[in-house]
Amino acid sequence: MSSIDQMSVKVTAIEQVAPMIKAFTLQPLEGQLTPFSAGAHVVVEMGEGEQRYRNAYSLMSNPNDNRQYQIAVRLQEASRGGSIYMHEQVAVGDELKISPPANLFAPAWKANKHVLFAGGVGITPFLSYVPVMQQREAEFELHYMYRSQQTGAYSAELTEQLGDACRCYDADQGSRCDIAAVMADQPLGTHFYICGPESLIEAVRATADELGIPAGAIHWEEFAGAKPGQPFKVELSRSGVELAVAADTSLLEALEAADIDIQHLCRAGVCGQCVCDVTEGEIEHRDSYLSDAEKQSGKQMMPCVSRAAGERLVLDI
Amino acid sequence: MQTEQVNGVASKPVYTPVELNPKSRFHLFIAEQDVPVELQSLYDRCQEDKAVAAYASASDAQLLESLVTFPLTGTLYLAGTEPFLWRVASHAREAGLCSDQVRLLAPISRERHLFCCHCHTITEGVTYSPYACSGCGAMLEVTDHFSRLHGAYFSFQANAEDSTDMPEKREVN
Ligand code: FES
Repeated sequence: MSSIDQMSVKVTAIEQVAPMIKAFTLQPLEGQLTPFSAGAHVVVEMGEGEQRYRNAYSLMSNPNDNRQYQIAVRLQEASRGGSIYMHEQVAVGDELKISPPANLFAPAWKANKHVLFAGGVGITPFLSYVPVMQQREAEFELHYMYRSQQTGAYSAELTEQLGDACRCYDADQGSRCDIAAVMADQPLGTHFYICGPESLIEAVRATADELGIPAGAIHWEEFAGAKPGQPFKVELSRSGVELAVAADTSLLEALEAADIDIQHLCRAGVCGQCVCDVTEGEIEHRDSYLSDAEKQSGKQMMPCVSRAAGERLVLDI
Repeated sequence: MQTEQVNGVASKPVYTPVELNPKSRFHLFIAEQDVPVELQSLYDRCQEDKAVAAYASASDAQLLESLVTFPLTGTLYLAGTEPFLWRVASHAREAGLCSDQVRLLAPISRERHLFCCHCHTITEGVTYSPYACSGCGAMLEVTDHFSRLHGAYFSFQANAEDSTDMPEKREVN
């Protein structure tokens, strides 16, 4: 069960675009898909029963194309299954369920200039930015960091298409992006966008802070999703239900497996949709939505990423 | 820096004490008329690259001109009446400054600009409610709904059901 209407789509093509990345083309079983805005993502539901996963993926196709969506999935060996499932189990012709597109990473269109930093598969939201920025004649530059032996999808196409506006840095060739040099001396009204591993997001934010670039000009998207932790028990005070949350399952997933409907958009601790009231137990907050004061009060948590700090939690559900 | 009021009407700006932004490489101080002491003392304490300007009745063109060379790493500090603060802040936003790059000192007077929802005229120097609209003459109820774009408060015909029966005059602040 999901609180927002899901759509059924069929996988019509799968392409190995880099050693670790597969791209999936999705078409609706009937009718048309909705157009989306640059930077939007969908939550893909795959598998069944015990082996059911929901992961958020950026849409990387042209936002104006309502015949198909494309997503790219990087194989995460240490992942809790979703990306492995997409890589190993999903075949052309299979059906998947997706949420309607939602956008937590739209460009700041009032910016005078856009500087995009992509790390590995983090290129995907920017692939939807590019056609719209070109159409709007917005000034932008793309800095794309990857390892050609793992994640360098689309670098050739982008270089060809964008020329100087695209700079590629292949770590496997010893090429590194000098983030400070890119960020220094940008004109007033420049906005910076980061999609990639946490280390890249941190590096760009720290550089901005160092240079005195306003925090409001820095935007990032991190779809790290839930990370495993200690197993714990959760009691739902209104229904009296008690559930066990395994080490590699998120609390949100455990609730969903018990058919408890929780709103969600990002499944990454960013959007605030999944907030739950907590009546007992220590929380290990891992989200970036609640304020420090809210985290300290211990009364609310984001079950998509956060967990119990102890052995047991009681939720007011 | 402004924060929204948690209780009551949300859109009336709250002005908290202004500090220098220690991260900034350039600081521009703009006062509407005379440079007030608070702004002067910020300016004096500032060690970095800085500039100060007082714009007695500055035109929009002059204000924009002062922002053309403004760097991405700069902070703008404003002092003056509330409509002035927000007028410059609006230009700053147009020029590409982020809201965290613009710091507003508490307005030097409690006079408001009032936006009439009937004729769209802005009436200046308002300190009490109801207040006669300088455009259509309606007696306007002054609200705390503030437009950051127009630097003015929203207002509407007081006691519209019976406009001969005016509510008692009250001071606004
Ligand atoms: S789903 Fe977005 S914060 Fe949990």
